[in-house]
Amino acid sequence: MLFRHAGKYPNSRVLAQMLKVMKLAAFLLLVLAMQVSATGYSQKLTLNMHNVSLSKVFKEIRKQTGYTFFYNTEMLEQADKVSVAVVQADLEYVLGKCLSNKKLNYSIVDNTIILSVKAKDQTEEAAQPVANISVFGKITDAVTHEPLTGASVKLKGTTKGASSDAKGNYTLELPENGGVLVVSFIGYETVEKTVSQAGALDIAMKPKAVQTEELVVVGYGTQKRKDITGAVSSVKVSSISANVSRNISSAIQGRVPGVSVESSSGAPGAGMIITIRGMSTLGNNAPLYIVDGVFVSNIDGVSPNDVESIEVLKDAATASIYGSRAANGVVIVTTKGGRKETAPKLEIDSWFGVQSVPRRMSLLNSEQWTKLMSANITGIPAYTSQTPNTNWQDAIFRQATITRTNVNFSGGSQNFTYNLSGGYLKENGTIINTNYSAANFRVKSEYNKGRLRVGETVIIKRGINRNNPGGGDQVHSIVGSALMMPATVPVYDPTQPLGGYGRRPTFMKNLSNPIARLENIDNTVKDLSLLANAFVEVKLIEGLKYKFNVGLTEGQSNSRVFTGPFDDGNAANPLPDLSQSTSTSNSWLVENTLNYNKKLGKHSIDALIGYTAQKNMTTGFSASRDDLPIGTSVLGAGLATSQKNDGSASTSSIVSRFGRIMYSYDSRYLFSASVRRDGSSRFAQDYQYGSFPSFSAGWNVHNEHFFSGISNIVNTLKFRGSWGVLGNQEIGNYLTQNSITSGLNYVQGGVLWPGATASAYASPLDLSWEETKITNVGMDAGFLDNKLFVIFDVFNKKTTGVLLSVPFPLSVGKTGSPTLNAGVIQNKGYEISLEYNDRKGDLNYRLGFNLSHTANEMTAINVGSGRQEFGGISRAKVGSPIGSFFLIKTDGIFNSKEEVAAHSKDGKPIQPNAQPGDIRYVDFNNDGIIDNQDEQNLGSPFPNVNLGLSANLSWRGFDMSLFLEAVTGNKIYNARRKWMDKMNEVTNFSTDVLNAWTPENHSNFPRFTLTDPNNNNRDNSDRWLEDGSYLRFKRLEIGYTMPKSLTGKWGIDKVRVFASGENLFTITKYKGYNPDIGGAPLSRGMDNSWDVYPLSRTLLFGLNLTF
Amino acid sequence: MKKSFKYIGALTLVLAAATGCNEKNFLKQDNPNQITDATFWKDESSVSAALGATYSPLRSSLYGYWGSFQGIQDINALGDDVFTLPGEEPGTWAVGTFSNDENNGDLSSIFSNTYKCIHRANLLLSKIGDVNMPDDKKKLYMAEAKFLRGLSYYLLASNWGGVPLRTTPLETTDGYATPCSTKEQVWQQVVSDLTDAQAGLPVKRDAKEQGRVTSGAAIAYLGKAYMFMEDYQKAEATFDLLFKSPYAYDLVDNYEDNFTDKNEFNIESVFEWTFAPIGDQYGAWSTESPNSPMYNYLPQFIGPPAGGGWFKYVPSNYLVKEFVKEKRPDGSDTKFDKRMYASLMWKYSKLGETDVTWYDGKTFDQLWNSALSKTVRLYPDVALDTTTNGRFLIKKGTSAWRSVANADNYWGPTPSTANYRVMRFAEILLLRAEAAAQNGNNGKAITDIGRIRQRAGLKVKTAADLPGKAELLAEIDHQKLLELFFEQNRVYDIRRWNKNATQMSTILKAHEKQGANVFQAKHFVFPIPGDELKSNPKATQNDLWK
Repeated sequence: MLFRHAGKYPNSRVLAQMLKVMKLAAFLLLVLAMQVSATGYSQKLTLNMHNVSLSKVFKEIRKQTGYTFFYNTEMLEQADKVSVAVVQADLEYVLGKCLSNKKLNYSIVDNTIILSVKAKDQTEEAAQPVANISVFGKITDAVTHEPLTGASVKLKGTTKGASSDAKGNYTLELPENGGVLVVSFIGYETVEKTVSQAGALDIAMKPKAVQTEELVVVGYGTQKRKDITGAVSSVKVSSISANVSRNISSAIQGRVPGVSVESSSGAPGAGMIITIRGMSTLGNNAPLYIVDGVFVSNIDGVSPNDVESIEVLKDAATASIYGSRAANGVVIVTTKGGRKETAPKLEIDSWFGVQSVPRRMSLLNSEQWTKLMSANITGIPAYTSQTPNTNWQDAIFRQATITRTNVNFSGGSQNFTYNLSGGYLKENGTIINTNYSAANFRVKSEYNKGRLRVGETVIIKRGINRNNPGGGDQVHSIVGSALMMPATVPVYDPTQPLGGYGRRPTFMKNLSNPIARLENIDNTVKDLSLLANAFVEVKLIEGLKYKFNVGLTEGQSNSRVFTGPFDDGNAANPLPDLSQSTSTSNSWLVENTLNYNKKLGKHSIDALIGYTAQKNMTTGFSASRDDLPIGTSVLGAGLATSQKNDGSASTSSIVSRFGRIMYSYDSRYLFSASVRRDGSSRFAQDYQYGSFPSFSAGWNVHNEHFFSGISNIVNTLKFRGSWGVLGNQEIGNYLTQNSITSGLNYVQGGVLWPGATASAYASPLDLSWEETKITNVGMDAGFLDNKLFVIFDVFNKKTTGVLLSVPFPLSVGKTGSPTLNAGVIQNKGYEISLEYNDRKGDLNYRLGFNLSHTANEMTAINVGSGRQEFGGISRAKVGSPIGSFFLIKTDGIFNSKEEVAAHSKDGKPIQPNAQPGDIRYVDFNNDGIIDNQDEQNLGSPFPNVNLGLSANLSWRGFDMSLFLEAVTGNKIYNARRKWMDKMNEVTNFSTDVLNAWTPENHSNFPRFTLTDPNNNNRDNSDRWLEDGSYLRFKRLEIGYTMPKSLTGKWGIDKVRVFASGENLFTITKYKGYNPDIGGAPLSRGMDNSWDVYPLSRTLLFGLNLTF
Repeated sequence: MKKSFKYIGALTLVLAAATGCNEKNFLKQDNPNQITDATFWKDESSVSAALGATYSPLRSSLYGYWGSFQGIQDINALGDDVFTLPGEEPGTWAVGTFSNDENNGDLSSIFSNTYKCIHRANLLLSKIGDVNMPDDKKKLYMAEAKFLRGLSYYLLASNWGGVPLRTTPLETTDGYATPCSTKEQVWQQVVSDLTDAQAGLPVKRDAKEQGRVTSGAAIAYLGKAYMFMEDYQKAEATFDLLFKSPYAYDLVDNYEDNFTDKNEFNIESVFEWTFAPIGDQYGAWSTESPNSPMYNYLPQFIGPPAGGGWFKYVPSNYLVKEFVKEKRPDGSDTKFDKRMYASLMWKYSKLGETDVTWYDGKTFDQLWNSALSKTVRLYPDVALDTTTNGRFLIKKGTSAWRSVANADNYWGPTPSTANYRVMRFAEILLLRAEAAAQNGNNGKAITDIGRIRQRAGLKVKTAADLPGKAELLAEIDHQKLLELFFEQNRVYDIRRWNKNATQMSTILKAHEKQGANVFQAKHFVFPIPGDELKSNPKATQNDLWK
């Protein structure tokens, strides 16, 4: 009792004396027990061992000296690993070095080294001589050289210490023989310095590297990176420029091997399409998204500033805990929380930028167009100096501003942590009259006391999006119309009624004036989304925790399309029309989990069981009226007889049980198994349940004894393997219910005859899950103090019973196509990621590289066609990648009638209608005619290789990050170019047509012909197929953090200014606006002129402030 | 420790209990949007709804056969009586110029809509047995469903020849594969369905059911089917039924009454496809939804821009030549065949008559000038002859008769609701005349032709003018061209009369038909759509298209 009490006051005289006595006693005891001989061992040792256990060092000493060791294994268990590098050193020196920080003493008796446990630390401390030396100096940040205030400096093994003052200065008295100084500060790596003399000692502290004991979020918990046995990629927010990304998916684009993130559109507010390890189904390939434990349909509702980490679960071992919804992989987003015992911190991020469409299609101007058309058809009005020369692309595109501000407030006490944030984004689109604005608010807090832990996340987001109103004529979008409309048509023509818009003359194709539509159709969608999650966790006994988690989501979307009075030259709308619609979706999720973890010696067990239920509901309705009196803007003002309304609702539910056990032995052998059983309302009774098991194993080779020899070169080496089954239930609701369709109307007796019947297909009752089996083998390796880290994975992913909406024969006469378990798709591939972290003087840098390859194949189709293929130009056919392009191959241009005649079979010309200047097609099936039977597989929309290269550098106050991405080997069908090059309608054309074949100019561009008897413009030829490879400088960001000496005076902890550029340049042969166009499995790589909104280049300037 | 385990045990029990309860109910989610097949077929109201749904696909706006776009447009484009303007719908252009292939979207859509009608008829026929309603009512519905199925197979046989024959609905996803039957088998199905329909359908419909089919229509299509089958005896005998009680069909005095909404369901009308001012007039491209329009959109496709139309056709040189060839007797109120004034618009003064206006005061010059720039697209393929007889526009099928500005435009105040006369007695007369001529009943043929000529204001021809079969058939050819111009008739007649590809090609070339140069034997039929072949493993392409 007295002793324990005394420990608190080591400097008291009573205690010091007492300890002196004890020390003496111990010394005598030792002398009595063993014969001490401290000299006479002149044998020299050479060792070079890094981070190895003591037993390994002893083994080596024994080898070199012949001395044996006498110790109890339990003693060594408590000892940390050691590093020792000596050349021709004395045994005592080596032993001293090895045991300097350990709780062990040694003595040498003959040829035996005897280890003993040191007496309590206090004992030693008290024994320190009283004489003091003084050490002083400055503690600074090694990177920024800013002084660190409040850093702790302690003498190791004692409570003696000091902390640095506002200028980073410290002073500390040490015993005469010096000691080890331990300098620590939150967020920095702890520094230890051996001090033997008085004087100045400045200390530079390294900010903590990210990789130290990395925790990775896995389903229903976290796991240490070193214990992971599956394929998980983790993106920490510190390694991405999240604050300049407009959405999360764009922030992870190209950074995770095997994960493809593509822009669906350059429209303001548009999300991205994420695909993990290739297309495994013909329907929905979106991964399962989870935000702070809540299942959501889209992660773009979370502001990128709020993200702590994003984990991508790619293989069955990690994803199968999510069972029936995990076949396309799982993306887990964890938002930022507060930190315990940190002072309140306020961060403000704000930036402003401009964006524009970097590329223009080269089109004919008025003079070129008139000249070309007049040479080929009669009746084209002559070109004069009065003829308008409209650049329609310039008319619709603009340079647009974009700005975002985000505020984050966080902190924590012993038991409570919090993090609040709010932000606002305003983005103007690169097409006039399109824009997006969003406001977001988030709270996350956690309270922890005793056995209890409770916490919650609430995210609210409000978005307002004015959309591109879309085409006007039947084929073109706004962008398409701008490309098709000849330059001779003016944008405005005051002589025209209803808005004064320029109209195409009737001899042209029926095109709409895109400006008229952009200016008069206001298509605005307002949405509000709410995500709330709360949990209670109770520690039942040591190691066993019960967690109850409730998640709620609520989404509302209100759309309003107001069409003003205008005439776009194709259709007139004399009075305004209005249509409005609302949809709401909500879901609840309840999860009960029990988690048990226990360490028994070298055995470590982590077990989980859970039971969850989830329900999703959506409802929607819409209403519209036409002919509102000018000046009014609500439905009630419209013509009552024109009113229309509609509504629908749907509900789905899912119940799941799951269990997982993770076991590791000595951090060397890792094993995990999980199973989930899901029941889903989407399937018919008796077919609602499915089970999804997985197994995985890992081997941390670097922890093996035999590995010590090279452990200084290879610091980490782990092999992983996993197998498991995952499901996919992403189909519509109620598919197996044979429904009656109404609205199939006719007229009798002059009044409506409402018709209804079973006109559509129902899926068969045994419709079931799509099953994906994934086998994954991987390796993690760290070299050179883990500065170089390599992760490599090989996988084989086979999906059976692919849920597919199978086209049935037209002659069945039903509408739509039933969803069936239709086929087998295989994805095989590998992924590699390399990262190198190092510093040279003040320069800190990180280089990251990732590469992935996925080979996709439709291996079987079990239903539907005997011809085994689905789709049109882009097709799923057995033996080919999904979406392969099946087209007729072109083979140059006929330059003469002789060449036309020479392209023959059995003396008959293969293309009898061809003229010189027409395209020569390859008669693939060799039947003497060119028809659709000559289509062949001419490439896939999937890249062979995806690459990402990123770098982060910092030097003093400057930082820079850059990111490049590349894909190779994919093809794009440029349907937009088809419209510009085909020359069989009276529209504008690309300037390429100026080089069209003529008898004088034998170019490789076919002749001008409106009638096109040779079908040069056929859709299904590779004339429109292009190489989609590209290399893009995706992002460059340069920042400067002002010296704290300056900003501190202003009361600001940190001031950083930065400039950033996105999509700075793209190297590609692709002729469209941008080569990354994504698309559904059967329309992938199809660059249709429909609603594709080109991607923009963005330049931003911003400021980060921390208080 | 022990206590804790007890606690866990209790919790586990609670969890287990919670999981067990009501999971089955929780996973049972019924569709709140639609009723299911199981509860639908209960009484006459459901059968009536199912029958309405059976009519629907053939008229579904702008897509179905009589929806104006893919049906009427494409079939008319195949005739030698019009020129089609290039640079409009590529699908129609391909069909009209014999450059279509099995992937042609228009044809695939017509094919598919026709089979939708067949499926719905089959479904009605298979379900009606168990529905609670009087047997005599059931018979009426069944006859009507059979008529629609027979009409659909008639359309398939006359356009595609041999197609998959389905007479029961596919109610599960199995058994979807069916081979193509022969052309003869399809015609047999037509005969069988129409025979049954004829027996079960009423002769007349009361006002409330006006527009639904009658036994007269079944007889007319049955007779026409026999013409395609070249069974002229049966054809003549079948048509004869329409000339006696209880039928009282006759020609209306004013030929134009067949194309306006002024005199619908008249004595000449055998079957009309009905339109009414119902639904969203601007929703022309919406096919089968609760608010789909019931308007007639045909005028939009034909009329000149000054009348609100899209002007996709002009009368062919051949048609104009045939119209002006025979003038009316001296002293008549018009110079030319009365039908020409209802079928075409031209500058009357150019041919020696007084000018008139259309569309509420638009002169022909105004109309022509609005269309002129678009006609440039016809060259150099077609030499539109505007000098021999002047310039002509199509009037039949437009709303020019309405004296309303912008009348053809479906975005205008009120699109047309004129019923489309699918079968009228004039066609019966000409068909019976043809059958009679083939059967050697020349007198009957001369009489029937005489009624047509008389209504047209032409001198009635006698046996002296038409002494033999060849002369009769030539006159029938000429009269059908004029009488049924742009009424989806011409292509079938010339196909029936010219079975040899060379012969057909010669005629088409002589009449300057667009695409005549590439006409081949396969163009007598449409290819089975690629979408059908891809998904129906038993179906095979028509031999002509292989």
